[in-house]
This record gives sequence, C-alpha cells and structure tokens, in this order.
Amino acid sequence: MSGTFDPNQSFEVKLARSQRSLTVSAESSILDELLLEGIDVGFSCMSGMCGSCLVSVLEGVPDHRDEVLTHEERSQGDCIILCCSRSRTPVLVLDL
Amino acid sequence: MISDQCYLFGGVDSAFFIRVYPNTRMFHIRLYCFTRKTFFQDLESKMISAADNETLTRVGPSTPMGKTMRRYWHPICTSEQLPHPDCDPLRSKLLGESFVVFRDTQGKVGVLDEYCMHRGVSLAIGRVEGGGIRCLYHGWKFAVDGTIMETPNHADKCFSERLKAPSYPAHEAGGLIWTYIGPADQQPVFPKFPFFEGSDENRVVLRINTHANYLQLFEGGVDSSHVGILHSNLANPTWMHDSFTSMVEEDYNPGALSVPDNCPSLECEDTNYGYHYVAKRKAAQQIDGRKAVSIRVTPVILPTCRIIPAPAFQFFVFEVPQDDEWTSTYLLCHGPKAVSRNDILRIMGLDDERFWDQATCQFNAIWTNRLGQNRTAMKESWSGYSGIEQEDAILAISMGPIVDRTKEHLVPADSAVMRLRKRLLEAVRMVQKGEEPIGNEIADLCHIKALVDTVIDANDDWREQVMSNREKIAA
Repeated sequence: MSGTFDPNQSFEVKLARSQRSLTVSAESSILDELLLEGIDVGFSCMSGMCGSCLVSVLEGVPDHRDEVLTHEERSQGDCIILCCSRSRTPVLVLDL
Repeated sequence: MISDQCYLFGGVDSAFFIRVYPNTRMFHIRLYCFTRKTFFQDLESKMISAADNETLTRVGPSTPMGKTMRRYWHPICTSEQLPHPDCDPLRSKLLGESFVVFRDTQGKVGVLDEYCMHRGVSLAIGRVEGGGIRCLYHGWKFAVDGTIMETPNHADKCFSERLKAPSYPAHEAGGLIWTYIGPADQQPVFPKFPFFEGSDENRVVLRINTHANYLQLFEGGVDSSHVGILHSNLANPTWMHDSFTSMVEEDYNPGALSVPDNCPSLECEDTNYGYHYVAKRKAAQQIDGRKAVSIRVTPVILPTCRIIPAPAFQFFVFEVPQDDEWTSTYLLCHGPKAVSRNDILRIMGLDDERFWDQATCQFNAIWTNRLGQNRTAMKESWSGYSGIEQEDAILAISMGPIVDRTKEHLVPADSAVMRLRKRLLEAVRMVQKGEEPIGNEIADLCHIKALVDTVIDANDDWREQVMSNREKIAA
C-alpha cells in the first residue's frame, strides 16, 4: 500500500487516545489540523527543525520531511514530526 | 507550573496538563488526564531535554562534556597576563579545575595544579624565582614541568627525584598560552590557527571572564539573526529613524551588515572540524538582472571556537569554560595590517571600566543596577549598552548561569544554534565510544575562513565561496 499512495494528497489522521479523526488536505499539515481542532501538541519552529512536535506513530507509514530525525528513527517509522511530515498510507494513527 | 504556558496538577498516578498558546491567538486551555507513564513519555521530545542540557553544559572532570573537552588544547590565559620572566603567577580555572600559570626566569611558561602537592596551599601566592615557583608554606619549589627543585623541610633527595608536581603541557602561540589537561596518552597534536602568523601589531588579544555557562555565549556567536537587532548601535546606527546605514567601511566592525534584512535564512554544513553556516540576506542589487543574495559565512571549530567576519579582519572567539558557570572568552582580532587595541576595545564596549576590568579581565554586571543598563540612553541607543561584547556578555548573564533550554521555542533562524548542540553532543558520543572527538586530530586550521557579507547570484551555491573550509585534511 505504501508504494502506491501519493503523500502529497490528502490523508486521514486518527488520534488513538482521544478517539478522534481528522483530514489533512494537500495544502495543510498535520500540526495545522490538530491546532485548528484545539488539540494540544507542543510545537515551535513549524519548519521541521526544532523537534518540538514529535509524536509517536501507532499505525501507518510516515513520509518524513523534517531535519530532526536520524536515519534509524526514520526507518523505524514509529514517530513523526507533525509540522512538515505527511503520510505514505491513507491513514496514520497517532498516539494523541 | 512547568513554564509560563504549561501547568501541571495531579497526584502520583495521574496528572492534568494545561497548555496555553498566548502567541498564536489560540487561548485554548485543555485538560488531559494522563497516567503517570504516558505523561512522562509526552515530555520526551527531540527538543533539548533536561538530560541533554546537563550533558552540554557540565564540564567538570567526571562529566561527559568535561571528558570530551579534555581531549582538546585550550587557551588558559593570554601571554599579556604573564608579561615578563619571574612575573606574578596567575591563578586560572579551566573545565572546573584550578591551575597556576607562571613564567620562569628563562621566560618558559608552566601550568601546574594550583594547590601545592605537599599540603595544598595555593601556588598563586607563591614566589617565582630562580627558574621555578616556590610555595610560601614550606618553600617547596617546582620547575615549569613539575620537577621538584627543592623541599627545604625534607632532606631525602629520593623524594624529589622520584616524584613530580602535577603539571600540564604548555604552548605559547598567537598571544595565548595553551594547555592540555586530558589523559597524557591521548594528547592530540597542537593545532595551528591563522592568527599565529604575522606580526604582533596585526593582532589584538582580549580575555573576558563572564558569569555565564560557555554554551550561552557560544550560541550567541552562531546566531546571525541577532546581529542586526541586538547590535543595532553598530550594525545600523540609524535604526531609530527607520533607515539603514551600512557600516561595512569600518574595517573591524563585526556587526557590519551590507543589507537591512533581519530574517536571514540559514544553512549549515558539517565539516571535519565542526561545521560552517551561511546567513543569506536579501541583497539590495541584482546581478545581471537576476536575483541576488548577500551571504555571510561563519565557521565553528570544535570545541569552543568560531570565526566572525569583519570587513578587513577576522575575529577568532573561544568560549573556554572555567567551570559550569564561568567562561573565559578569548577574543582575537587578526588581519593583514596593524590593528588598534583602543578601536577594538571601543567596538567591543570594553573601554568602559564599569563593565570590564583590564587588570583582572573580569566582566562586571549585577542586577542591583539592572546589569548596568542605561535606560535614558535607550531613546538613542537600541540596547542601553554600548559595544558588541558588552551586549553579548550582558545577554548571556541575564539568562542566569545555566539557561533551561527545555523552555525555549526555537525557530529556523536558530538552526546554527541547533547544529552547534548536535555537533557537541556527537563529539561527546564519539568519546564515549572510544573514538577521537570531532576535529581534535587536525594539525593545521589555517585554511578555515569566515566570509564577510558578499553578494552572489541567488542560484549559486554559497559553498563555492568558501571551498577551503571544506577541505578534508588527513590527521
């Protein structure tokens, strides 16, 4: 599945702890949508540099676009920088 | 309360976490109930953790950064502080340990443990005479290499022949006295800096002892976006009229910017000695009708040095930790022609005796007079202070001795600060793995250059302007 899904299109984010779901459009970011929904997450630079908005990924494959994570952390695929990264699967489940 | 925006209530097994976003027009206050485990997992992020802040800032002999820093040569004082043979000895701290530095009758420099090996009296109040330093207490006398020359209250020659006072290698170069206090079997090559060359009149060497952890001062030195703001008085003296006056004609003004762009975009590139970074600002002119940028490149040489460009000179700045809370900043202005010490003191704001005492090198600022700030002058002066080092030192002191980096909010303009922390932590991990830390095997650093504001085609690669910074040098 991860081979065919274009990460530039919209995708769904499910929040495991709060049992909520939201859609990230092609123009938006996960962080934008979370803040619009009033969901509390840490953030600062909004450019994929500072690492403030790191959260755990429970299901799905992140499309990493940050400059924070190491090569190993990227390949493990169990965390994501919310402000810039997207999804290689139609649904991404986050530990939020 | 965790910070101004975060509040935590709760008991042993659960907690309510409230976060307010005052800067984003999002005044949501959210209540969450986390188990203890998940809450503390939430605090784990890639931002600087409390543990990383400790690792980066603590420099004593048993700490990870202390062990890392001990794998490099460091300045321990200026040559000027030991002005002639048999002059007064100097007490100097380095990485949380105390040393006495002295110049013997032949002019050779010695670095010994400050406290006499006999029963611990400070040698900094000793007598320097006849080719050594003598403890006042019982007259024990030591040569620059720690050889015990005399022990008046102990006649057994075997004692002085078999033992030595703890001593450290010393080099005098570039107006500085350098030492190495790490493991003797891991002593690296003594590195050559560009400012070792040329006549003494082409160089000004200053030492400033400041009550702030070294990293606060070092981070200020790799932060291009503060130059046009904090240092407005020198970077743009007409700021109060909403206009911009470039000061690039001032040969040794490191605040001189060619354009009034206070939001530079930064790019960093790792090198074998640390990294270098560019600050790109919008250029006023075009090149052949194409978009142009003004670039300024700052190299960082681990573990404490950066090179700051000025129009005709380069400033080599070392932020050497005396201990966790005090730093000796060694500031060297070096260039192709004679440089006036008085001009450098004026530009740095060190000509004001209220702030800097030439005799002791101490930078003085206390909160009882708001760190010496002149609020009246702020109608004409941006900061109420005067001079680049005065402003930088005051800001570092204002943060408290060791700033809590878990509370900060970094932005892209801080990316060279982030890179500094990353490279320092990498060096720590290399030492922990038994490897040589970044750059400590490089014998010659003379190819590394800072680049003062230079206009290039926006599509050109800034790295091509500083190719020598990227040379791979065999150890």
